[in-house]
Amino acid sequence: MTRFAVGESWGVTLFAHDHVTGLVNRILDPDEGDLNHHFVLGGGVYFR
Amino acid sequence: MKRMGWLFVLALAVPGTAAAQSVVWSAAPGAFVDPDFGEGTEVGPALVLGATLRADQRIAFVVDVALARMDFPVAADQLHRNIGSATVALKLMAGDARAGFGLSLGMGVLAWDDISETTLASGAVRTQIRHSSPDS
Repeated sequence: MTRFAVGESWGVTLFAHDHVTGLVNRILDPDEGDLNHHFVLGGGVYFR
Repeated sequence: MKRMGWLFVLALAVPGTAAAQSVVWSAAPGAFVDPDFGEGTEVGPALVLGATLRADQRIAFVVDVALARMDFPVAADQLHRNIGSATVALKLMAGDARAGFGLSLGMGVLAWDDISETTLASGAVRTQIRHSSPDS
């Protein structure tokens, strides 16, 4: 995640998320399923 | 139920720890990418809403909610998948007030719902296949 200020109270942000699904199921039951990755890439505004 | 217990603990701990701290809100469109979907990669639009607590500190807490959609064919049917996720994460920040870089690690829930466009178009009863899975 990166964040760049534009004004006093707002700016722009860019991010890349990696969602790993199945991790908890695997911990609870090692024989259950595989780990899967989904990615969310985006950019927008932030304000405080 | 054990996994839900951890989520409740996190949900209670984050607001208490971050009380009276600075908060940064964000809204960002993006792309949801599933590289292992069927025979290839599927991409759909996404919207991510986030709140960063203790935003001026090196260690911050992040709460993200993401909504996404993918369209894909299955045999003769056209389906779409609605995806929602909520994540609580710990973020390490570097930089200053003008520019910052952060890495976060957290845990949450991702759920999706497959809906047949073909069934909807034919006027038949809407059928849905529901799934849910914890993510991290």
